[in-house]
Amino acid sequence: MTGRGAARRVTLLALLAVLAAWPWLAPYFAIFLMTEILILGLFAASFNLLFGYTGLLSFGHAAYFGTGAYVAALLLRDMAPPFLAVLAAAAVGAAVVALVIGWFSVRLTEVYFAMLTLAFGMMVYALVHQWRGLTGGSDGVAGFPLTAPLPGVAVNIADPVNYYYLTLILVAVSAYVLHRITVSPFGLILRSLRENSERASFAGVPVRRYRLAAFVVSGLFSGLAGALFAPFNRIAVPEMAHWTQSAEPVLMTILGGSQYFFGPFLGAGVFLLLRQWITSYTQEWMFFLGVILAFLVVFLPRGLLGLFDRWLGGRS
Amino acid sequence: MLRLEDVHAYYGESHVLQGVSLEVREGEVVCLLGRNGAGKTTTLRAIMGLTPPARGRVVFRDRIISGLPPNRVNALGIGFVPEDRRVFRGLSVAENLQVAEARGRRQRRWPLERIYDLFPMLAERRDQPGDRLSGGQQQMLTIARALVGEPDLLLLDEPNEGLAPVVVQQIGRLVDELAATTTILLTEQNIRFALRHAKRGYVIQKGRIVHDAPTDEFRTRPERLERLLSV
Repeated sequence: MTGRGAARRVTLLALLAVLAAWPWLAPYFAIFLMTEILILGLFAASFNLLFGYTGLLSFGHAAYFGTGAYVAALLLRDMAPPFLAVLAAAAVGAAVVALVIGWFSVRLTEVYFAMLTLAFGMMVYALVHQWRGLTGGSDGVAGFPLTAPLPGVAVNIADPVNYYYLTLILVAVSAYVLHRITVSPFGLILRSLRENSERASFAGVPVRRYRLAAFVVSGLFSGLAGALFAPFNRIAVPEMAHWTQSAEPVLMTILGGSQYFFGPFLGAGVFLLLRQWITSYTQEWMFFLGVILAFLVVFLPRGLLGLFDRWLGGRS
Repeated sequence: MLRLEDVHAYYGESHVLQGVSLEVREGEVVCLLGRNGAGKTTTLRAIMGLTPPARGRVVFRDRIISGLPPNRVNALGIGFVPEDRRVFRGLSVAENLQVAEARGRRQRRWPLERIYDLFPMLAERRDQPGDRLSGGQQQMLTIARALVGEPDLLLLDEPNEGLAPVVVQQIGRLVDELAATTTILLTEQNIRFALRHAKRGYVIQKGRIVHDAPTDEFRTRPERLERLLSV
């Protein structure tokens, strides 16, 4: 047990070292790829707090990702405050949206919960798509400046290497916080809800309150991911709030393994690498990606980390 | 302490409880006897708020609790041990107990040390996941989980179902021990277990209470009880 724990810590440190040295190790385009992996990995990990840990499958997480993206883009365009303030405001904005949507959604479970989150997600999409006066409709919000992270810190984050490091630090800190949440007493209650919410309720757990809390925390970090994503792309577009964007963290999480904290990050990496690789051969990358994902879901129900775990002789 | 007044409950379309009335007084051990499908489990679920009564009311310590969600019923001091030993299979023994620990109210009569004293085999296995326990161990864990919620009234749903005779004996001793400080309502199909450990009994048939008597009376006239419980 301790041997596995130590092995895990060494792996994690080695991974962090590689990520820290990435701009020197990898070709230029790979800096962009890794930035995207980190951002979408955070998105998927925040989704998985709800899915893997609480047992609620949300099909509407693009609502919070998109809210984060738009709040960030609009703040930068109209007020240009320090970048970290932008990220904080965007994450809080997404958490507020999650509080409202979650308040209704956690009344339901299973497929009804999934459908309700999907419906709310499409409402957010319709809103950003139609509210041309504020969001520019399908043109999106572009042409905003990238401000200094904090007043007096003159780092140019428009430089892809600097943006990569900013992303790496924020994603690492967020992953640490999310992980602490999953191993806390609060996280334990969430896992009991995933196992059986009725059992938890007669054991004294106020089920809806805990589900809503998980929902809001999940929305907060999804919003942060979205707020990193729009400046990374220099644009916020309605597609970032579309249900196809909601599907990505679902696929990434299942690919990597929802029962492992780092499953969503690994899933995001494999998903984006596969997409990169397949698009270099064909435009129909969705088809081939679909085939690969279907194969993985059927033969590796516990995801890639589940497979590694089995190879390493972990619990069946 | 607990009173059910003309409680009706449904599972979907089926009218499972058709006007159940019963009473449990402070300090009593009461058993609810009945055949499979008579409504024993539903009666306990109705008290707990898991199958809310459609009609009638449940009164606990002069307070109407029908309509409250299960966690509020638990917080008022009612612990539930469901049949089939429903542990959290993916959580360790210690985590199973931690989830159910009383949330900051009432004095703690059942701190974890006392639980582990009472159930030494749970202490030995505190880091094992729930699904690695045997049936008897899971039953002990479900009882322990109810106790850490600091109940004043304990609902035990067929605590012996499917367990080996030696485990049934252990549970019997445990019920006697708990009875000193806790009021207990238990359901049983096993007449002998009920007669040995309960002071009073109700017989439920097709969702109605058909008989109510001290178990002494059942003991002296067992043929009457046999008749009520058979077809």
